[in-house]
Amino acid sequence: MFQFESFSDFIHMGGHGRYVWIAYFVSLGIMAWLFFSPLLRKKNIINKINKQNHCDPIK
Amino acid sequence: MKRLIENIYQWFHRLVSPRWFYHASGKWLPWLCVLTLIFVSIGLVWGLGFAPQDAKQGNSFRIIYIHVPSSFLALAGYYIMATAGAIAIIWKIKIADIVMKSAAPIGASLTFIALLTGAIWGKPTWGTYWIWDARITSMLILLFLYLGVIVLQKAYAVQGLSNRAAALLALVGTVNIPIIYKSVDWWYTLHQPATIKFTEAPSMHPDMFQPLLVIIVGFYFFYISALIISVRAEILHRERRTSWVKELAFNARNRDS
Repeated sequence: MFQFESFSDFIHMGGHGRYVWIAYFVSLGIMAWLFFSPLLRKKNIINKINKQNHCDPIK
Repeated sequence: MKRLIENIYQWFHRLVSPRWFYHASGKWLPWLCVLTLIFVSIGLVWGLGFAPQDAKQGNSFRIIYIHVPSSFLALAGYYIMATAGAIAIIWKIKIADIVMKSAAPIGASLTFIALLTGAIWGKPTWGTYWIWDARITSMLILLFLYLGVIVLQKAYAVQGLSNRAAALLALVGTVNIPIIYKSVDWWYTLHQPATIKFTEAPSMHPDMFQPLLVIIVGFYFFYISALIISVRAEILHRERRTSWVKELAFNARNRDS
């Protein structure tokens, strides 16, 4: 069962809202960065390789 | 007999070759990402909105659903990094070296999350953000060990030497892991004893414990996915001059355009 009576109650969390939400947002932000930064790196590496090899690499 | 051993050895070498790993992990990765998303989102919503609040701590207790899983993976990730480092030193297997390198920043980030959420949780519960408690101090040492491994990998101009130094530090640092586990029992200061033990029933109400279990599973999937993504990028970087990576890049461009 949902523990809070309203949405603002959920955000407020009986006075502990700012601790809980800061902890969650910063943590999930770091985790998203762990996930997406190597994907971006991979894309950059592929682009760089393609820039160096204009022609068909198999030739 | 000699032939058989040679065959097994060849098969093993193919198995751990970066190229094989890149292709195989490409098939696993979507499933792992889906599982991560399912378990983490169910666990978070359950923990944030539906688990009952703690009788003493109120809602600040909900930080546990980030704090405990990230601490778990910070420790498990250290074993993975140190084991990969040992394999890289002893058998000179390329992929093990790449795993060690990729595991270090992920582990450092998770340790940082554990420390940060612990500090935020400490304020409403203990009245302070920081205290030199045994558990907290040994976790801080874990963070420095991770950072040390990251820095050492870049320390020497010769790549092989850097990696060996980093792997050695990682191995020596494993001494710290049992200390972290036992710190709450050996020095009973402020941090509460472990909630989850393999030998006993959890000291938590099932309504609070079940979402925690879900999110711990989710964090394991997250860790494996993040590690694989990072390993794949590093493989492409190290093998960027090989024909298979050039071909892969060429095909990727054709697909995009």
